[in-house]
Amino acid sequence: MMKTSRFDTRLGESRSRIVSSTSVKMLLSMLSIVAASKANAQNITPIPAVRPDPNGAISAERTRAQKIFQALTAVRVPIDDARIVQMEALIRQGNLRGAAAVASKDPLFLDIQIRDTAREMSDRDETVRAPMSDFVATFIGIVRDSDTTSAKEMLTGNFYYRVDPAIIATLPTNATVRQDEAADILTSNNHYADIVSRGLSPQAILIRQSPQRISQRANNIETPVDHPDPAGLMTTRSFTGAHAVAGTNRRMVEYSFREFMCLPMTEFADADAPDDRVARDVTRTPSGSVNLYQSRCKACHGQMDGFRGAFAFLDFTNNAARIGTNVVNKMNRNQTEFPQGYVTTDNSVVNYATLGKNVDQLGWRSALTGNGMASFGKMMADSRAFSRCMVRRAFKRVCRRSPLTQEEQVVRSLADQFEIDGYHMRHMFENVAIQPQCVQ
Amino acid sequence: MKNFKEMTLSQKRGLLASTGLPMVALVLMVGFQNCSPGVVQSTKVASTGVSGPSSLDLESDTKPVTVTYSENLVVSMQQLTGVETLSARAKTAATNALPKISETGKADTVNAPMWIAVTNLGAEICLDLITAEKAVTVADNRRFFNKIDFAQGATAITDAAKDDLIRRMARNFWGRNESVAEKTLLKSTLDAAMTEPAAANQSVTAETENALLFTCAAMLSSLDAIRF
Ligand code: HEC
Repeated sequence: MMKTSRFDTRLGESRSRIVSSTSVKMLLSMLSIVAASKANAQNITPIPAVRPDPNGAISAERTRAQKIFQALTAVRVPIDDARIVQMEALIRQGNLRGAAAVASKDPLFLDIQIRDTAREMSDRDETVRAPMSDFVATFIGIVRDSDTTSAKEMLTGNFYYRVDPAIIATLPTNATVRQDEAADILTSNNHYADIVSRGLSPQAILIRQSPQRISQRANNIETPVDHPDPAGLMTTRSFTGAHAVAGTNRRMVEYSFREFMCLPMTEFADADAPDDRVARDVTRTPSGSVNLYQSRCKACHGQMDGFRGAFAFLDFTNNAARIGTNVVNKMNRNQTEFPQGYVTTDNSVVNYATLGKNVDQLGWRSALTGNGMASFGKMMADSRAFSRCMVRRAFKRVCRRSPLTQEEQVVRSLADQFEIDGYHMRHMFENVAIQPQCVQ
Repeated sequence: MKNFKEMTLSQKRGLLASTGLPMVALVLMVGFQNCSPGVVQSTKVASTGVSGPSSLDLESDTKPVTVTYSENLVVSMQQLTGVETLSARAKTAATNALPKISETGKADTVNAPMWIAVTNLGAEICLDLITAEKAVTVADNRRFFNKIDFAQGATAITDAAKDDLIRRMARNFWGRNESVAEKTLLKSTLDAAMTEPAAANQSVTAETENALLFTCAAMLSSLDAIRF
């Protein structure tokens, strides 16, 4: 299945933060695509040579159409563009959703708007400057395939998206996409970086690949195997590379909540939550104060350390995610801070974020205990917070602002509709864009 | 008139200031005073007296202005102009502009260096557009410069030709027809610029292209062309 056209020995790619020169490269390659070919469907959307109609009337519906198109794709196109004219007609018929669908079916929606939505979720910086990666590609793929894919699979899917090997076979050898599974996909970002440097349109070239894979390293040899504990985007190389490298795997919990539940730690911290899972490295007497621990440290760590068990076997070393069958050392380090603290012996997860304001804001709807990342992923995917978070992210991208406090009801009803629609991402974006308070 | 590249900052500033009435105050405030908190207010001040449809209604004034961000700016400018293949110069301008272009597009991230970069980029893309249009020998088949004779000097550009190209660019770039005030402003600034001495060794027909470049760059890099 996996075609390995050549073995690339560039194993040492460092997953450092993106620097502006990389962005520049991305931009340049994007431009060169456009130059490369317009007929080729693999390449970024062709740019229609729109002929302005100097005497044509511009109706309110036309203007609205252009704004909705721009909101959904993040790209401005001329008012006389055929896509806008088509949307105008649909708006006239009262078919706002149909109009929005013209925009959401445009390649720009996936290649620009959804790419940028994913980029903001994919690394620690949380900006649109994040690189193309397995996370971003898989996110784009899930949205593209909304008709057959529930957004819940972002946290439960046992698949990833990659460039279709059949398309790679058609590329010139001096402009290929590297695809050695170990070297270019599992231990480096080469495969995904090449999408950008070759100027390919992600929506046109990605295919779903199952199952997720991971590389085992022994004697400096990398051997890809099936992922034992897949959880959608959470177990992509880029997400684990950003949050499971070094540290204590608490960042995996923190950022899973940030990205998929839209909640920073401070917003779901709860000093009333039990703390029997708080590990030995967290002192119970910071600055000699038990009160400080009770009121501050415990509020975050009580819950976080309960979830953290999901990542007990996970590490990110030598440029790749690694999962063994043993608890990694970082889970139990610095034991002398509080020797009576919790010792991790397995990958069990306990959900203690179930009290007070968290009842409503998280809205758990499935098992509160389990094992491994897959069960943590499912817990989140089934929650109310997840569907609301997807709506919030769409709102922020499309309406160019965060929903206001008094718009919470709008968010919630959009989230309800999203669930009724089977967690259909593309339809949800359309519904957000046609909200009266979104695009004026 | 000088080539855009050779213009002094104050000349560019003059060019920027000619980008249409609703934009004038914004450009000056956002671009040159780096005074973004005033953005929302300034749109209200600027929109008084505008005839014709204005994109700045009260409702959109209630949310802060955001503009096309990051590398999407180039994608948008290409869509607006229909320039599919960028020249090496335009690519360089894009490369240089990228680090200066806001990541979020939020008003408080828009500053003077960004505005200069946007204008430079707009000018280069306009140059590509003019080159492409000039190559279309049957004037009726052009998209913007249907009433322009590229074989003649800038003084041969008639008033009707100016009106026509301003209208066409307003529609494509701004998504609306220009207002009377904007047209007057654009034309008077254009006329003023055309009375400046020509750059050395510049042919008369190059003057025509520069005149077009001037108007195109001003309109393509104005706020209404890049805002959400
Ligand atoms: C707002 C939530 C929050 C609060 C309050 C909090 N922590 Fe943490 N703590 C975290 C997060 C998130 C991490 C993981 C950070 C990382 O790996 O980058 C962490 C990591 C740690 C670590 C592991 C650091 C390492 O990498 O070895 C220790 C030890 C720790 N916290 C102790 C404490 C103590 C003691 C307090 C109270 C004084 C406290 N924390 C309060 C969220 C919190």
